[in-house]
Amino acid sequence: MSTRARKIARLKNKAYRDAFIGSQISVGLPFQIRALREQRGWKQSRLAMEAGMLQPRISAMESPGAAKFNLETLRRLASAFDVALMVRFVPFSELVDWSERFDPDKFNIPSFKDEQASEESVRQAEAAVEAYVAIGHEAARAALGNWAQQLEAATQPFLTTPTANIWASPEISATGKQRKWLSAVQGQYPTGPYGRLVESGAPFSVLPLALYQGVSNVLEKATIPAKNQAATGLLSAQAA
Amino acid sequence: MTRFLDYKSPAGNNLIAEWYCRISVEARAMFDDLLDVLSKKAIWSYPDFKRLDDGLGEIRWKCDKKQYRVIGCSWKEPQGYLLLIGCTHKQDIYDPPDAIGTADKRRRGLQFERKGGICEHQSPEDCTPEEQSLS
Repeated sequence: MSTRARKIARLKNKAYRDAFIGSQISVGLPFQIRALREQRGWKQSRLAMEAGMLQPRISAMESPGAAKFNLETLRRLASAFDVALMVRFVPFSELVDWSERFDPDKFNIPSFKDEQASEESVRQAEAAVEAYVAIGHEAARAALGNWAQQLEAATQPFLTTPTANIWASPEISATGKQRKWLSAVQGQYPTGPYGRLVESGAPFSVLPLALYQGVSNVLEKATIPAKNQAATGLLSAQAA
Repeated sequence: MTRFLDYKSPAGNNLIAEWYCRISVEARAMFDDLLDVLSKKAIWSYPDFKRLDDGLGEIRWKCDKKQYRVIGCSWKEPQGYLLLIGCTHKQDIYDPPDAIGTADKRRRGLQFERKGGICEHQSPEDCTPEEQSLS
């Protein structure tokens, strides 16, 4: 029996269901808070300062069951980390799925500033792709086709992930897979636009989204040229 | 991913499952969640885990104004953790009082005398009222 099935079986007991909601807060939140703090390289005292709280309170909030959380506390922590906070009612199956996916070692929520940097990287990646396409001679086009094919193979497991959910996706947010994906792309095309993007020193955390979106664009242009008349027209003109 | 194992008495009783059924449902849910999270964590650290002497360690959480502890040790494979005894803790006093000594005795019994046994940890889906009334 899977761990999910065992959790669902225990939830048949109403008292356990109610307790499960509480434990997701009492146990889940301390691990989330600690993970976010450590990702930022902060000590508890720094988080206390950012959130306008005392360090012992942060310490209690990082200990399972040691602190009572209210919405105002969570709002202040969200502000300190500069991340959003979602509080909503959900079916139990959704809470179970969240608890199954939650991994404190891989829990990574970018601050608003990092998200902005990510969007900028996407724009840079797209510009790089445009420039690559616009080189526009036959050899480049052939290289692009080959590149696209290999990239497609390397990234296929990830391409089904909806862009909007990319940060929430366990496939993409799993650090090991990010690295695997990145090294697949970099290893094959160290001088391609993504290799250059990596070399440009863009933060590692912003790369998967940039890669995903940029690669999707490349694949679309390479495999369905009619969709990008400007690029294909330029290529045809150069080839002629 | 860490795999949790339960200690079984020489009579074959799963003492972790029995203890689990004696604690409150809130403490049970927290214990389940804590093991779930720890199973995915590469490095366990304070405050949810504390190393004790002689290779023992305790998984820690607070519920119902009580400090709960489950004392155990790494077992066989690096990613196996054997749960030896569940207890509560208040002002440096364990309940049952010699929880650490009992955990150590159980571990040594398993290691050197082949007394007792182990099984895959699996929290009971439901605890009967009889089991709960033992608390």
